[in-house]
Amino acid sequence: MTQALLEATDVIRHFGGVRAVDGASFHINKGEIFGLIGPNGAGKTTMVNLVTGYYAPTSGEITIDGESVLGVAPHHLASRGLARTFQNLQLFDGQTVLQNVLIGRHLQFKGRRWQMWGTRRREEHEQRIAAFDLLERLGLLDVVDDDVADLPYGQRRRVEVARALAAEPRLLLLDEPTAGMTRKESDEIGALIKSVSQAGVTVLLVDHNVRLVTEVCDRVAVMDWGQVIAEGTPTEVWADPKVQEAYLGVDRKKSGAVIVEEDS
Amino acid sequence: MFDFLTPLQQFTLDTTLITTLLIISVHMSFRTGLFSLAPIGFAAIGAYTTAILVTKEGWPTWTGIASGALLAAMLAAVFAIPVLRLRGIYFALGTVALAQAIVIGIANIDITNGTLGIAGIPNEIETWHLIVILAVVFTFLQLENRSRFGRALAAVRLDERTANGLGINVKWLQFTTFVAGSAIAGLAGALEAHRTTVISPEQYSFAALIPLFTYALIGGNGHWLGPVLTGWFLITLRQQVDFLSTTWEEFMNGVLLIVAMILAPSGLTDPRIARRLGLRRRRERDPRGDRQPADDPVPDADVPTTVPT
Repeated sequence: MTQALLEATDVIRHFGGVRAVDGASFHINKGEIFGLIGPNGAGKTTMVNLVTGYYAPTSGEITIDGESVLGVAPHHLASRGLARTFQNLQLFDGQTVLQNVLIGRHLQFKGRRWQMWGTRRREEHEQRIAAFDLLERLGLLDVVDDDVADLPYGQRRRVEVARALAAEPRLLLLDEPTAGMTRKESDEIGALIKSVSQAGVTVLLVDHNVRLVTEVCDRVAVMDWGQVIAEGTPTEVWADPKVQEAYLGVDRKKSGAVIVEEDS
Repeated sequence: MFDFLTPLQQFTLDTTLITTLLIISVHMSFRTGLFSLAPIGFAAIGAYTTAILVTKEGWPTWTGIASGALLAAMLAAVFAIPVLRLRGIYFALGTVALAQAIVIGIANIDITNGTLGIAGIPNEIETWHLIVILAVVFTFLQLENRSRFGRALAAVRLDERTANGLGINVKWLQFTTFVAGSAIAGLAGALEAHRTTVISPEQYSFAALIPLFTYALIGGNGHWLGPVLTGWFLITLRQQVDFLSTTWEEFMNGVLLIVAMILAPSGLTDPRIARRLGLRRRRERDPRGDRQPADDPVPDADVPTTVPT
């Protein structure tokens, strides 16, 4: 049996009276691509924020490699191997692509803060090599010097993924990486996610794009109203009547609702 | 060493060098994205610490100056804990309150001689002392600027939340820069006390902060040289218009600030300005050497090609 990298148990997070996450449980195995999907407002992004330490759950438990993440600050979780992208794209505008990626490598610098010139320069050189390798993999080598603010949307998304990958995470959390993308662009992101996974990174993919999730993910959890209503392989999950209900609504005849026939 | 200067010129040079430290102090807080108005308060702490220790307790000048900087840093560390919980305009207001409390406190206790101030502080500061101190500070700033620490500071300024998620300890960075900046402000205050030999509470008013802000904002956050050179330029310019009246300086600062806010809201050292002016054509070299991406150099890749219609 494969080992769980991330385990969420009965996680609850309320914002005032809003139950954003209301008793969600799921686990992510090491090395898999795990999809977290659900209608708008189902609590997916809240879940990502809970896992990465931005929010503290009202109750419940989240562990990574058996260790709790509760009460741990985001930067400590980052040093434990978590990296994420944001739903609404948070790049450091005004800085170049390379600078953005180098900030992502913050934790990979081993040296002390006030190093002497020699070692500092060598380390800086190594970091740049790593950054360039990564940018080449993501097809961003041509825009290394460009201000990220000047890039087209699809490339900005890529830079954000590059910045997260620069941290060499064990678990990469992608919050709607294909939002607003064309089919071709999201296919490229799909291929990218697969190659990242082959490099040994576990991926949590939050997305609305059903086709992408079906193609890419090993397992999927569907959230609705803050709860996980189904978990399994994409095909299993789509066959689940509860999932169809959440996505497509209730069949009015089956649910016994009073049907007012419209005049044709 | 600087004997060729008239005493007035020497005094001007020295106070400019000391002001440079204060500009650096303001710049350091701006760099972390914190709009701190506290440096002037910590300058007062530094000035009064050394003035009291040297004139009343008979301490040696340099021990007094070091104590001034140290006490400013310690107080900053204590104040930072509540103040750094604030954000944006609330942080600015918190630091104003802090600076005001310090100055009002000084004006109302006996040991500082109240509003009368302290006179007869021994002047043992020479120009070369100040140049050495500035050289050390500049070296540290440059080391920081080019390190991952400098990159982390820029990230924190641009987006605290995201920086945090990338493993940057935002709170700690802000704390250390706040304390270091306050120590430099304290040092500047102490040096100034000895150079001018007279201090009184009103010279640490909010008004004294306005020119520093002008320099730091016009200079921008891109590089520490921006605020420093802007400061030197404007201070020199002020000497030239001095014969008119002092209100001209305030007028000039105000106008320059407005012009800068419109034309270069992130200051002159904003990398975007360099890019727009075409000063940054140099492409980043591929550190892996052999694989130069510039096989087919894209002509003017960073200049948007406008299609004439």
